[in-house]
Amino acid sequence: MAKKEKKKKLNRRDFIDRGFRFSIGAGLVGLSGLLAKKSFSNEYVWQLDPEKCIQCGRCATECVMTLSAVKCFHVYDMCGYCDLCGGYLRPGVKKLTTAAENQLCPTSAIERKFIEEPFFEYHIIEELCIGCGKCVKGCNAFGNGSLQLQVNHRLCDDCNECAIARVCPADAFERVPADNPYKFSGNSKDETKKS
Amino acid sequence: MKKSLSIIFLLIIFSIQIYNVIAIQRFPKPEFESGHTQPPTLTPSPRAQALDILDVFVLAAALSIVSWLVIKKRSRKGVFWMSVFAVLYFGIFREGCVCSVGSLQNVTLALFNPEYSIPLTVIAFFILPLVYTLFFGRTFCAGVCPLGTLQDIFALRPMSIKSWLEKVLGVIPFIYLGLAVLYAATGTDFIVCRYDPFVGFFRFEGTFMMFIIGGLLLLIGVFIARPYCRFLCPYGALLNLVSRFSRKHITITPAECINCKLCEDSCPFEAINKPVVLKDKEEKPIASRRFIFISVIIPLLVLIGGFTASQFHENLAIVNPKVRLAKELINNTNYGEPNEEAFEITAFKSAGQSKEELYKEAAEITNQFYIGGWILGGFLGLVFGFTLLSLSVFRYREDYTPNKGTCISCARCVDYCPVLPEDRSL
Amino acid sequence: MNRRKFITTIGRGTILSGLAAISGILIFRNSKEKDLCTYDFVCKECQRLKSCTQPEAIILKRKKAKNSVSNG
Repeated sequence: MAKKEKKKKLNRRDFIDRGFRFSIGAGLVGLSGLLAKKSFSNEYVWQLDPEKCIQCGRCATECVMTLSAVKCFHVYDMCGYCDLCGGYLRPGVKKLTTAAENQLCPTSAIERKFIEEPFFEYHIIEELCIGCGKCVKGCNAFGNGSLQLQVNHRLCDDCNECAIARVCPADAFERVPADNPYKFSGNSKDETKKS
Repeated sequence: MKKSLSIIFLLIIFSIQIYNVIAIQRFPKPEFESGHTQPPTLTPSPRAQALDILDVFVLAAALSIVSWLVIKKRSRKGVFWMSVFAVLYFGIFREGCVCSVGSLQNVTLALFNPEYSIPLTVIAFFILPLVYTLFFGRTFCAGVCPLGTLQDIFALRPMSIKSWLEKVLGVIPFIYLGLAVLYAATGTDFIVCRYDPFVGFFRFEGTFMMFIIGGLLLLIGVFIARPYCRFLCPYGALLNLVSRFSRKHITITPAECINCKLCEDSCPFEAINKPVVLKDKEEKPIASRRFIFISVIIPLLVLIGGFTASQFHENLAIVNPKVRLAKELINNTNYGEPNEEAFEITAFKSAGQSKEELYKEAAEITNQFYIGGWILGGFLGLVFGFTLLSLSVFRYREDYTPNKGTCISCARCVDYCPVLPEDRSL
Repeated sequence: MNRRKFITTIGRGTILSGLAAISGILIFRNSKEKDLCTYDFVCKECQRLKSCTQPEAIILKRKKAKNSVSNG
């Protein structure tokens, strides 16, 4: 009997309140459903467009990570395997040796390996690369442009607003879909493999 | 012949330097005779997206738990441990990004610029705390927001500050909110993220300035609890407004207030409304005259604010990189660099956009800032007006109650109340 | 006191519906584009292009804007 009386007490205001609560609950359930369904296809990450990049060197200094998440990537597919590499050697060197004073890279992060006459292969040692883009500039000027700056997504924190994007003079940073997070320029766009 | 060839060669090199044409296959791809295979370009994948969904669920769960701890359990200890969890998970594990405070800019940008595709995680981070606040008060601030909880843990020797100072400083979050919305809506910058003082502590790295400002805020926070939340946080300003309409809100006493005054100094945030003794009550004619005066002055403040801010629209717009570039090009000032060409100008030249296009774009953005300036100024005028109103309006109170706007539901006061909860079985 | 409660309820309702509207708009916008945007010649002039966030669409729009500036 007491229960029935309680039920009768439910007045209009309570009813409206309850209605609100239910609709909100339903809305939340719907929202989370949508979230679960759509999230997989709708995430974006930061990446830089090598075609816009002017290698100003700010990537090395402006990233929130103390060693920038922007690294030099070598698109081997485009590389000419030159002996006289514009990305590896300082312009105007006298000897084509691997001596440190001949190298363009300030941290010696490029490894030069002899393959066969007259080809050399160049590897980037990621731990040493600071993302300054000096080699990229050299490769663009004298070579095929196979050295390109890219955001390394294993290192990138994916800040809400990329600190480099803020100061990038070429406006080269943009959000790209997370399922295709690299943006190489040139002829080898689709041939890179995921690791 | 040789000379002309070399000139042509030089010209080619020169044009490459200027236009920065990438990916010309100058040298053919070699064919190896020794059977060497070319290694693949390694492209490490980004953080698993499943983790983003986990974040949203953890957020919802944390909000629910803190709300339950505050409203049902009335446990300060529980809230404290939840704040420790929030600093560890949302702060250190997730590295503080994306947070609800910053998400308000993403939402603004998405509303104003349909080209910007906002991640659903970010929408959830923006909406969920607001919805919870609408129902349970600012429980998000109490034990979920990593920025707030970090300061809360450091609030060791809170002092009280003058209530007028509290009110005046309390206007700053609204100014910050207005500016953040203006700059996000015009696609200029996310200033809240840019000047986030604590994210460096979560990542254990950041700029020197960030650590100085963050450390200073934490140091101040030892004595004046949660300085960022109360006097800066733009999302806090939003929650402050929303929380006033909250359905349930923490109460100091579980039953009836007995006016024992024990809780009076318990709140480190000056968010307890003290009872007003009847004899303090103002005479009616004076009060109503002042009320009418203020109701007239509010629209006036809105107009003055809008006019003033719109006059400064060019100063506001200069933050936008495009407007800045256009200005530097027109004035031929080269970003104040005397020797070399500034990177911005080099990049502009190599991008191949014409100056007229840039000027047109910059003029459009400046115009947006003019309109935005009116809205921002009007909003600020409204905020000033209502602050004045709240200072002058007399409200009769019998008991000690939390101020629903500024109370962040930390549940400190609860421990001071000697009243026992009513026995519900009776 | 009752009047105040009533006002709060109304305020709450308004805020909630506002939030629902915002999230609805954003989610709807997000979800519809993925399938509907095609950048063939067919879609070059279509209405959806304006609100499309796909990179190809943005490039297309920039090109269009450029053309209109250089022509006009």
